[in-house]
Amino acid sequence: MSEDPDDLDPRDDAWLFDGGPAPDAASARLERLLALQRGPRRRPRARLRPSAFAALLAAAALAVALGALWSARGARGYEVRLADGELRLRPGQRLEAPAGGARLEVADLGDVRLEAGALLQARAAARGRHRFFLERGTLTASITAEPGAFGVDTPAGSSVDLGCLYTLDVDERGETRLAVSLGRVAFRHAGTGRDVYVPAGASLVATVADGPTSPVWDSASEAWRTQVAALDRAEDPDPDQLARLASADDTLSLWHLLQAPAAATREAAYDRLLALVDAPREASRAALVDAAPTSAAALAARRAWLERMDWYTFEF
Amino acid sequence: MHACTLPLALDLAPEARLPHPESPGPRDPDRALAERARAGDREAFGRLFERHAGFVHGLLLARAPAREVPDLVQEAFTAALGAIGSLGDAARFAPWLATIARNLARDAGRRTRPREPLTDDPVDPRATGCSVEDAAASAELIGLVRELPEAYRETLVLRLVEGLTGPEIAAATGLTHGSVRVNLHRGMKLLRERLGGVGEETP
Repeated sequence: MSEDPDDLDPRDDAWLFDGGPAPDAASARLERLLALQRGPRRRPRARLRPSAFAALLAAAALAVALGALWSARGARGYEVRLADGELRLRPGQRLEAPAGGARLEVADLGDVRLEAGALLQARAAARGRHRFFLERGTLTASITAEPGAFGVDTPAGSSVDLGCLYTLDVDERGETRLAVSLGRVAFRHAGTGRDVYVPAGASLVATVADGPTSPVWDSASEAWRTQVAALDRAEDPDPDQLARLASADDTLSLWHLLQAPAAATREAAYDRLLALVDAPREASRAALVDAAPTSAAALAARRAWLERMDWYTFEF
Repeated sequence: MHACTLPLALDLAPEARLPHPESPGPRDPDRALAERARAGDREAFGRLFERHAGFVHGLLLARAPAREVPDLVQEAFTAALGAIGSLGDAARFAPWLATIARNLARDAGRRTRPREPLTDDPVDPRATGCSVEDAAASAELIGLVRELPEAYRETLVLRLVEGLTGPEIAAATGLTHGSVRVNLHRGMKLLRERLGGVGEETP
């Protein structure tokens, strides 16, 4: 074929270069067959089932509580690549990332990158699961795995990977910042029993004593971030802040504020959420406002409503 | 089963498609997004991901078995996120990303060769809604495309698998319109010669 574009078949050119219709049936079939190789389309979005959610948290809690059983794979440890060589990190061992950082291969699930100075311990985990403890420093995890297969504990709680890419940053006091770039991460604080979900584009801060804040979108204003953090903790919330919840449209933070310690905060979040997202039968005022946030009724009600939040979707 | 793979955003809204290099309108959204991503804006990186996931998928599919491509796409974006600070000209984000993806595919090929032939499992008919016969024909067809010279197979996959137009391919790869056009025509000519009935309508 000549390289002179003027010599090219114009019907082929309109198809191939301009993206027009195929010039004949055989070409159309060829295009249709090749298009089958395209990756998964965006949506319809599948949702994580409540049963999967419960299993995930149960597995996470179990792994944290027991932490004693490990598989043959876990016992072999993890290959670690450093700037100047390789080593193997076995369960129970700690690694302080040298200058240049470190990269761990996590079976066939993905990898973990540590920035210089990060201190990480590989923990024993049940078969097919991988647990680490990040004592300090910055970790970025890129994981493609069954929900719950990979988790990182920090002094301020446990993150459980729901895929795919997130960063944990732990300071000297154990305060943890979790920022999710792709996918979604669950975070749990054993002390408060609080469950938090952080979708891509959101982040939270967790302290050793109080656990995680409600996650806030990265695009949120500093004022909103401050307000959410205050309401997360307040036993006697500021009436002005409660009043501002009435016009909030951030369902991510509102849903998480259903776990706030003050009934007044839960009520304000509940009322606003009712206006924004259809409530399932289980999401009653009695369960979500009057009952203790750690009660079984509150937990079931939150999970039922969670299913209707547009940010609570799962990419397959 | 992977519970989560990166959302390969191929059904993109028109504004999310790769830019036509000669089109007016918002000037070079890649540049603005890449500059923001380089400054640590993860939402901007997410937008870049949405804009280029199909492109990267195509680049990798031209070089690696389909079953490995989702993981490689993830790896490519992870590497890009880690290295975004080293991106020089923000307007050249897509060609820079393409280099990362091509290098990854090359490394993956070295790791698997020669134990694993570059073959594909048929696509899952349940996922695509196609017939079993079409799924098998599609796998055979992409195998034939992969046997074409690199420049042709990459351009053809971007055009016919990922659905990019010639100008979109040129914008993303940094090639000229003329080069893309020639690659498409030469690649298609070779593919038709090698088809041997695959992809042809059966009477």
